[in-house]
Amino acid sequence: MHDHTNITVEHVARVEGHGNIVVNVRSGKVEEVRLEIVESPRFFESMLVGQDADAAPELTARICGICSVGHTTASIKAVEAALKIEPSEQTLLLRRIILAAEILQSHVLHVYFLVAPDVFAAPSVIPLAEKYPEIVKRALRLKKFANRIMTIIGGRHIHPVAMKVGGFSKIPEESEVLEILDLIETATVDVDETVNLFGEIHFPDFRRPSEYIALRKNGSYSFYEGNISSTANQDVDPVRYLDVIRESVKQHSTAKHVHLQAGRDCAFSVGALARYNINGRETLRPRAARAADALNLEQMKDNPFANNFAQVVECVHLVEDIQDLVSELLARGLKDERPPAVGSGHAHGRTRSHGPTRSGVGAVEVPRGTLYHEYEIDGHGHIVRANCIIPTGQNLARMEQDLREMVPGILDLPEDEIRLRCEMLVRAYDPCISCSTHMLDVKFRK
Amino acid sequence: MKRLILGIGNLLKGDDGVGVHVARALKMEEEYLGVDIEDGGTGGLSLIDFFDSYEEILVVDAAGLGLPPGEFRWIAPDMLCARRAWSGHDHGLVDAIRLLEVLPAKKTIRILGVQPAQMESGTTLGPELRAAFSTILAAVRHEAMAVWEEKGAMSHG
Repeated sequence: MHDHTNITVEHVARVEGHGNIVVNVRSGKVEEVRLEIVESPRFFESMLVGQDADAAPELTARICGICSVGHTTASIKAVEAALKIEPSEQTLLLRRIILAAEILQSHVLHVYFLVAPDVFAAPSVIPLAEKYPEIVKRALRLKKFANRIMTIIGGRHIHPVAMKVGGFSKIPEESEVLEILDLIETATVDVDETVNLFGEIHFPDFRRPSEYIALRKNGSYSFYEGNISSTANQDVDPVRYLDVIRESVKQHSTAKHVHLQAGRDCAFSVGALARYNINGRETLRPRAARAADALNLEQMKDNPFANNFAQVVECVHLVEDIQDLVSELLARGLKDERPPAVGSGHAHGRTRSHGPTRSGVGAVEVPRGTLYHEYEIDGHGHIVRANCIIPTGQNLARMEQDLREMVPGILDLPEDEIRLRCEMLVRAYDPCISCSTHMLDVKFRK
Repeated sequence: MKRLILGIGNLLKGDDGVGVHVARALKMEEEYLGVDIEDGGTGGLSLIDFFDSYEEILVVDAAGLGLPPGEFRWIAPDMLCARRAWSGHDHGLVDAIRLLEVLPAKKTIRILGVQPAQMESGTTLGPELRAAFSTILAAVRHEAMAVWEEKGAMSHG
């Protein structure tokens, strides 16, 4: 037992962004646990103010290179809700497919490149690639499959450009959509192999009761839409999201924390495990349900480390989802639809009459959980207020609480092991603390 | 096979987006320069998919060089170091290049690093980089059309 231990993990490795973990132990008791976010805060909400509403999706696509489709989708849904625009069935199908592809590529990145090095005792994916090249090649193949879908539907695999308010600026050719079906078989084998790989992995047995939140719709495993549902059986229209959650500022973190409205200290979590817990095994596609069984996910639903397994299960589900959605799209026949002009008068060469300010909320499940965009749009089509709540912000309080609850039980372990366990816990949430700066650091050799 | 000019960075973070601004400014000159030009944004490891289709890639990005803002240098890929060893961040350019080294692919990658002044929020470049922008574009145009002799060679901008 460590009587006096101060553990600081500066810049947690293999998470998206900058985060420090601080754990202080005195006389065998945990005095302090903090997850410090040292990334500079992002001010993209204020950047949206004054923008044409139809320009918001493309701008928000730049918030994050991994969740571009997610931010674009939430942004489009917020504008459409405010301006009462109903997308076509074809548009909805295309959005569901591209969203599924983005979640798949993000999960693949996380489980193979960020989590697998821990379980194979490798400092990073590079030595992993040297020792097990087939594993890393499989990951890259799956990522490429998902990226190809994003290119076909979104026009680009990074920061899509074809997704617009009301529809798509370019409808893919039938031959391109058929190409997705051609790639499904290999992707299915690869996700099955991913299940086999993770089936051999054991995560720490750390279980605790927790509140989970995800969008749920008609008993289906939904990503694109649904009501805000929780383990406490709330079922709330996303318009009323602030009745369920609220943001607060913490001194040690430049990112805002989010708690349940029900109580100041009531943390919750979102993400793949939350989706699994809220939707239930029975809503998974058949192959994904078998994957959940193979990974014993049902027995681990109170263990935050199981989020890694839930992501693997979702990979299987998403490939099946993509196959079905693409087949439906082809069966309907692709129509050359164009989105309506919805921007400000200036953007479209006409003047919109001044009308009342309208507001809309767009909620969507993205790789790390539920993402909310809320905009107020004035009569000229300009955004006058924006609020964006990202999944990692919602998970921060729960991550801190998990650290606080887990650390007392592992104080007998060597300090390095405690440090690793803390890092693995944070990584299990797949936090995206920042998606912002990409400045290179350069070391000049002498 | 064509050469690729890939501008990367975050368009919402001021000077960090200089690579994207360069890609956008030169997009109309693709035919004249005889290269493909792409805006890689914050694509991270997904940049590898761009690399697949080209043997020669010229990357433009903001870089902490310790130089006055707006100045730039050609950087050999093996001189890059990830900020927090091999990890952190979102598996960006450094990681994509390292992975190419482990999973061999015949690529020649050159990087033009531009010293930023500020990376506050905003979709435009700051005054220092705006002033230097035409010089940066000229350097990229020159390199785009030049014959590349050896992998990772470094010259000064």
